[in-house]
Amino acid sequence: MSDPANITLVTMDGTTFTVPSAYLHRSKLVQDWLRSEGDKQAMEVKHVTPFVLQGVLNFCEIHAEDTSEPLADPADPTKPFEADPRDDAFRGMPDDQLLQFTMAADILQIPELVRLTAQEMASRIDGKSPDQIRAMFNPDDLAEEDVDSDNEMGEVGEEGAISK
Amino acid sequence: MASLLLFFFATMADRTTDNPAITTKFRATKKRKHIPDSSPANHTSAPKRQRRTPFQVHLQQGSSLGTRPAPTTVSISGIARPAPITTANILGIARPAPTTISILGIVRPVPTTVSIKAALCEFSSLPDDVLSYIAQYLSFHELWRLSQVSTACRDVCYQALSSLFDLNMRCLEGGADAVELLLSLRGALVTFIEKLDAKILQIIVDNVCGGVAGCGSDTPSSRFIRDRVKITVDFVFTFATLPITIHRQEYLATLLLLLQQRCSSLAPDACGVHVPDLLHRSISRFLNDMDPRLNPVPPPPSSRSTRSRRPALRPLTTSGRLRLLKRLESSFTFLSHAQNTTPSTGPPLLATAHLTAFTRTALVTILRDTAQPHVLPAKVRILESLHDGFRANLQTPPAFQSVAARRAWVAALVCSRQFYAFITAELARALAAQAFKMFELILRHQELVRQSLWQFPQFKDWARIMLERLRKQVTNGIRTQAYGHTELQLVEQYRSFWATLIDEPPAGSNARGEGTAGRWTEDQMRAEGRMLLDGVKGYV
Repeated sequence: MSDPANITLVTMDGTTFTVPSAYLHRSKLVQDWLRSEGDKQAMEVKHVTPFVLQGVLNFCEIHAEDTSEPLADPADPTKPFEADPRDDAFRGMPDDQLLQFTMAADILQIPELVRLTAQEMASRIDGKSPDQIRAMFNPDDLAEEDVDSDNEMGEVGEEGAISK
Repeated sequence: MASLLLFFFATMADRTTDNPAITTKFRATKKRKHIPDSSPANHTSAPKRQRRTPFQVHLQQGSSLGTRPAPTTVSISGIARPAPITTANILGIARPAPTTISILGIVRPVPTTVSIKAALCEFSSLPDDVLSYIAQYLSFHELWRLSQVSTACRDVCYQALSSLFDLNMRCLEGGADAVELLLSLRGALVTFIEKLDAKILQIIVDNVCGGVAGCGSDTPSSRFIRDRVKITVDFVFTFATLPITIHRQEYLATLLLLLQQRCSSLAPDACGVHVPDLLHRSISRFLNDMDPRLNPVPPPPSSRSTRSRRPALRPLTTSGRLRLLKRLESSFTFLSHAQNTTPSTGPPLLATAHLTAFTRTALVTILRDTAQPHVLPAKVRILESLHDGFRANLQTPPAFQSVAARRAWVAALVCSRQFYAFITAELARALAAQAFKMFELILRHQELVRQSLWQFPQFKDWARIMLERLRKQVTNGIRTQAYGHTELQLVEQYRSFWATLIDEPPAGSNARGEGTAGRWTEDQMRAEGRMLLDGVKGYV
């Protein structure tokens, strides 16, 4: 039986992190695991690297003492997103790390972190051309049948001309 | 060539005046672009896409994470915490290379995977629900762009667009599954943009007025009509300003007219809906949403939080703002022209749309943006088109059916005076600033001016008139202190430049300018004139 005050997480390479359970009270995955398999020694988080998990746990630590009600859904329209200055450092991370944090947040089912990373990704997408977005996030290509003429490369002709 | 130069210099001489009539000089040439054929029929045969696995992780050696120093310790429990993890740690801010990890006081070596390997995620690996979370923070324009990034993004974006704008448009008829829905929606979008015809318009109008789809009610209710009008205005205005290959603003006006005709047959008194009023509010709301994209000054936090649950949009870049201005300009120009051609006894719907656009503070904000002189031509053209339409409204006041609509019209009258006062002042300032820049430009083309003066007599006559104007300008400038010292010097330099060239024939000519030794050929004149005009394009 593990210590009920702490929880041990095991990452994809076997690195273990022991943190107070209270830190992860916003993680639905962890809460479900504690209810169903809390008697086991450690919880495996196979798809998350130690580096990313550290970041996620840091987010949890920062927000451990928040008194607000945990979000049921990242897209909950009744609770508008409000930027928290404590999360500013997370906004400055490189694009590839932001992707990993987004995925880790989704795996651990932490709606607050999902919302934070989703909002940050949206703000990075904002104003970018499709090619720039591809360069940033390395997505899969458009299927051939999806390619049409609606890209905006030919959007505006010569300066001063009115497209009409 | 001579007439071209004459026109140009004549323009220059007028630029320092406060005459709003000068705005006609900035009218751009309309160019019709080639429209590629991309019928939606080409897309409907696409095979169904296989659903992706919800999560994929790709291991890649030497990624950016692999070179990042790991934290010196990992201690989160509070029991053993030599160096608590900080965000700076996580974000890789430089610090000594790690050696051990301490977990609950037990020291272990740093895991090798942290230092040499890391998982590199791809955007397309994100589950659909996460992509949809991202999509909810994006505007229509951003969703449209993102839909062109990848197939996965396209699916998610179309779903977001569908829910955001309620773009069902009968796509669900016949029990279509999700893929068919997306294809139909995509086909509808592409059709609307590139091959819009009366049939699609009819479908939209049916959806708005007839209760055919989405509502399930044969009798249109007040709420139903309100929702549909709001959605339709969002839809058509968004498409009218969408960064796409072509714009079909004429369909905007056509659609508004069709809406008016249909709604007038719905006994508005019975359902308590007055469509022009609804349109007024819907267009106002749309322009409100545009405001943060166009206004480089962010609104105060308090107003931002109350306007929308979505986070405030970042202002567009300078070029993006210019493009959007052009699209808005094109839309409003068409609305104004449509207004002018609408019979006075016709429906007041276009008048409502036009007046709403005219009185919107968002539009005034656009025009007030003096920090960007290169958008001046767009501003001037918007002003002109609005002026044309508004003048027509003044001559033939629309037959508003409600008190609110009439109040809006009266408010527009009041607003117009303030509007013209400020735009005239702005134009005077901006044009004067541009004139000084062009003075400098012309000073650099001395020989071209000299050749023009001595080869074309009418040009010299005009130059004498301009010189007299400049002399008065300098005299008045000194007396009224209208110019700063630098500007006054420049005007005086410009005046003496012309005065000197009028008296000095080209090299190789006699005092009367006769002789061909120093005379430029027509090709030389044309080439040099083209260079000058190219420089001018940077200012107008």
